[in-house]
Amino acid sequence: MEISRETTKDSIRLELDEKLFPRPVSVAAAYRFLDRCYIRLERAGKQHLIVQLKGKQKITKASLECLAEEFQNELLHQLLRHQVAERTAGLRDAIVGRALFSAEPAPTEAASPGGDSAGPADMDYLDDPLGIAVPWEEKYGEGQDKNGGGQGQS
Amino acid sequence: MSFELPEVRNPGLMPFRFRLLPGGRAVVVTDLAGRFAILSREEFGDFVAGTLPDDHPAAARVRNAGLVRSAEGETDTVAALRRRSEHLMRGPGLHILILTLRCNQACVYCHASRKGEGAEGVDMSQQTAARVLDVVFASPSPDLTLEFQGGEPTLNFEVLRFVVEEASRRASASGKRVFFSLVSNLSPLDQEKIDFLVDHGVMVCSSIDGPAALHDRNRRWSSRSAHQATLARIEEFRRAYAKRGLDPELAFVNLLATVSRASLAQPEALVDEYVRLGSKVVHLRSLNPFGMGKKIWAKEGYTAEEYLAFYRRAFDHIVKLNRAGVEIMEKIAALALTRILTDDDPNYMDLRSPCGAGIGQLAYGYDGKVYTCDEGRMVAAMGDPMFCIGDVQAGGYADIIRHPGVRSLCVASCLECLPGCSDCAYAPYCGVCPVYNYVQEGDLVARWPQNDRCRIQMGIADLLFERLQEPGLEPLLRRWTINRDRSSVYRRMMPLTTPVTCP
Repeated sequence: MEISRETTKDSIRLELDEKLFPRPVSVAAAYRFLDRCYIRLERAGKQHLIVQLKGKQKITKASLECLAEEFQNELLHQLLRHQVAERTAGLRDAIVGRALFSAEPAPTEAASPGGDSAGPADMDYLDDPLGIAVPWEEKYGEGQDKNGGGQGQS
Repeated sequence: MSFELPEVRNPGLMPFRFRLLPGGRAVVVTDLAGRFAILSREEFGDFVAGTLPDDHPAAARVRNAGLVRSAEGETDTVAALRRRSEHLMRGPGLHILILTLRCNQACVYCHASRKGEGAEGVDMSQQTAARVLDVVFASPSPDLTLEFQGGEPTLNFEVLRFVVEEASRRASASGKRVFFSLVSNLSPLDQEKIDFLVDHGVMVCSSIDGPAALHDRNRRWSSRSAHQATLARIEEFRRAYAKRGLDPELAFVNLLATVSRASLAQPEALVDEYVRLGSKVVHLRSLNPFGMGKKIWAKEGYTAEEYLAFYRRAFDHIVKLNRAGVEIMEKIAALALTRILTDDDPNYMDLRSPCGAGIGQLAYGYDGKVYTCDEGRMVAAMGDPMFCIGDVQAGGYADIIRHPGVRSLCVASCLECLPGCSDCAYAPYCGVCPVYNYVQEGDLVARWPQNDRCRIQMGIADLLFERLQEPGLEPLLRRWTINRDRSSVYRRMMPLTTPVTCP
């Protein structure tokens, strides 16, 4: 069974099969209930997650059942969101990347005074702040540590 | 209505989305770029099964819509997608300046973002306006539109005048094309101010909510008639345009109607008022919930279904008028039809993917705070600065555009990647507003079955596709997609390569 429910006096526990509801989905759904419930998540075996919703105020059994129904709707939303996001990740990166790139400031603005953070846009393409283009011999000279001054290499 | 996709056996299909229209007899099939075919259920079944005969009229429709794989078809799809995605290449071109929060009228649907006419400390200063222009001119967009809003922006006319003159000077120096747009109730304007706006090519947009009684009920102005005042100013603009020999087909005050609960019963009267005023366009804008308390919404608000019933009546009345020779169109439908019937990208901020927030527009508060969009600014007026992405006094354009809020809204409005939208047949014509979703659901991503904005957009698209099937109606609706070049009126800074169009 993908979801099982158990109601106590002031809380309701839902046991979710993580094969159907990956953990990020259940966590995202539970997060949406933070303002209405105290939430406890615990692992149950290797493939199950228990979500316990406990009313912040005194709560009736009917209200608890209602919360659980709403939680299951939210699970569906988060599951679909998760699946669509995974399936369309490449497309999203292309569209959003293009849109954000087009909004980037022209190089002169990014380099202007007035508080803008320095970034790649304020550098000439020949600038080499990390010294990547500096020849090895010139950088370290003869007889220096050719491992680059000890970067954790033995 | 449940509708099961027949088994797909046709190997020559291009990627498509589909939707069964209300009534259950016709299916709209759209490709990635928004080209479409309307098929009967039987034709659709044959199409996906690969049993639609080549000489069947529906076969020609699916071929013309690019739904069947072919070498030239794929090239056409890529070209259409590119044209429809031009907004991704532009950067922020729309810059909304809130010149003041003061307003001399008290509309029943506008609360959180206005102050009384005598309020102090809520006007944009000239110094702040100059810093705003620093940010505006740092945008990479070659075309910049500065839109003046409020409150009632003309109550701070001297700063408006400064911005127009200073932006014109900077435009000459920078080589950018600058356009100005004013959203106003017009009532504070005198002849000198009207002459300034006309002489500087400022586009003017005002509101007429319907006949006098309806308009004055919605837009309250102590004991005076807001309707009468706006009409008087519109007439003065007409005379000013005529005096300068400008074509009245191109030079006019744009009008829009905000639909309140009181409007719902009188769509025909509302449209007729626009015809009486000689307007060729009526924009039937639904209320948004920003800035309204629950009590006000209960009094002035309505459900998506109520709005759609109103909209259908208004739409059908307009079509009836068109058939009788009266030239008028509805703006929301005209924008949607432009995307449905042409490959043009009208770049309307609310109906694109991703939406314009940050990447297409920025809104500047009177105090120099910067928001992703005007809706984000209104949320801040409700006490939640979630969509504030900077301050012109403290940073520059780069800081603003690289704010994480811009990225968040961009991702949250990318239709191709949203649950409920990614497989919606109307996605190529639609757009989402994450700010609306945040206000309604506390989440940037909506749960569409319970989202009124989605219901309204789906309802309007359903209506348009239903009407497009009616004999003789497509040519009539196609006329709504013709944009007239208004450059001769609004070109002031330098020769244009991009026409200024209406509606």
